Amino acid sequence: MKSNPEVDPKLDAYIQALHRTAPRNPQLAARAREKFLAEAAQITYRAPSVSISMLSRLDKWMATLKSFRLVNQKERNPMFNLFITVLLVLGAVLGGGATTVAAAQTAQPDQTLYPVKTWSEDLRLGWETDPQAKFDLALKFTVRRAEEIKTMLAAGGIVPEPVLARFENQQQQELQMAAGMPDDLAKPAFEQVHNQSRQQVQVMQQLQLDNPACEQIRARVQTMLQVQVRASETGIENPDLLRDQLRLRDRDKIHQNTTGAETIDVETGTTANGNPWTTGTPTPGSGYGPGPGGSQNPWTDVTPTPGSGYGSGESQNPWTDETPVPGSGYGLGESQNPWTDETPVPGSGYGPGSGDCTSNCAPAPNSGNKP
Amino acid sequence: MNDLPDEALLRLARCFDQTALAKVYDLYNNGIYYYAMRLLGDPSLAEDCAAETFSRLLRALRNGGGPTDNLKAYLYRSAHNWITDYYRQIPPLPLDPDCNLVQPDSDPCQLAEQNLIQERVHAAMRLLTPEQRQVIDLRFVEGWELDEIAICLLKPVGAVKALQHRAVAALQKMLLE
Repeated sequence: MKSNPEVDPKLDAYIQALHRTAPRNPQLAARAREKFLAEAAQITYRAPSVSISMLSRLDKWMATLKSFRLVNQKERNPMFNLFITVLLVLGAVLGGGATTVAAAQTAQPDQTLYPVKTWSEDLRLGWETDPQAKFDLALKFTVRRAEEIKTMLAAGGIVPEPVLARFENQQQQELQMAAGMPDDLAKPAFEQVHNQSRQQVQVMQQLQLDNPACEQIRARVQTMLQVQVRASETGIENPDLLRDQLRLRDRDKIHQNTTGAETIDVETGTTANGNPWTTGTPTPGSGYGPGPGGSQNPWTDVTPTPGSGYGSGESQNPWTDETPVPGSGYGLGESQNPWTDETPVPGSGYGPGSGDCTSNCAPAPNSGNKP
Repeated sequence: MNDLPDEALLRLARCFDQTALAKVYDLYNNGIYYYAMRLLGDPSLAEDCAAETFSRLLRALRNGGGPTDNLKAYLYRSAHNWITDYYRQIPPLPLDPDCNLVQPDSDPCQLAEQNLIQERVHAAMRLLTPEQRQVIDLRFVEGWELDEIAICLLKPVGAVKALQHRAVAALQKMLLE
């Protein structure tokens, strides 16, 4: 028995014990040999057939696969399993996700996949870098919203508030995008917005509605569309003016957000103070906004006449009936005239002076002036 | 016929040359039997294992399969698979003290001591994984080289070395500590 230099001598002594095995029963061994040879004799040689047997084909396939070193290792690399797992998970997530997004494109606001649809729209807009393509996408998505609203109203359903809010936001977004373009591109873009909004107004008008709640929503959507039509008209005529208006509106919005004073009533779309202009510029004469508004003040250009009720209003002057006491701060106040007690010396520049009084006024006696 | 290499012997065996088949049997049957005996500890099971191993070889050759170059590795792998399948069906039982693993010796004390050591070694071997057991047996009892074992186990030589290292460490822990 050969000793094993690779192992501890004490352990080797134990391993050597494995060599000691009881001898084989020669009769059993001889019987097994006979049996084997008899079995071998029964099998006649068959020349290999033209087409390989199924098992041989399987063996060949397995050999081919093993040549890729994918299945021949019983102890697989843990990284291999991890890699396959990650690959499968990614395939499932991306493949499944793409299918879901594709299926969601026809979803309506009352369906489960609708949030996926809006999310995918946001994602596409976010990824688009070309301004013209982005504007086209925004137009397309606004048309989609209008279609959704029309479909829901036609079916007698109530359009959820988030859908209306999103529609309004998308309208503003497309205006902003058009305004952000150079003038030569902005005008055609405003025209597109204008035409599209007008078409939508017509579509809304043609809807046959029975439900009063739907009527209200239609009226609100039409108002939104009309505001959009007017804004785009302004943009076509004078893009700079619209840009200024949009800038002012954004500034107001930022101010509103920072003060947080206004809360929008979801049902009526108005603020707590009754102002329905939560997003757009108020129309003239609506009573809201900085314009001349609904006050009856006619003194828009010149100073109001005293007693008209306009102007600076009541002062703190207590001298309403009598002449103010000198030095009270009211009245004519202190002038630079030194002749407060006596008659000013002629030619001093104070007093009635010579003037043109020669023809109409009679000189006082002893005044030194003779007619 | 005696000096024929494995490849030539296999070519003849594929044509069901009875002399070649008998030669293959005589060359490897005893080795397979003792290999199975060490792992199974039961002479009748070892006989079954050896018989089934050679019967599988015949069936494989008939179907156009079987070994292409290393006949010895193929036969030992086949025997090991048989043993693994057997243990899958029936969990290993404790060694039968009457199985006469050791040839009866004239000295009863020495015989008792050898039996005791053998029982400990076999008990420790059974606690190894089938592959570790196979590596220990082929390497230290059959005296195979690492590359031969690698062919038999269908593993890289490095993996065989790792298996051997882990098996030796486990045996050391079980038998010496």
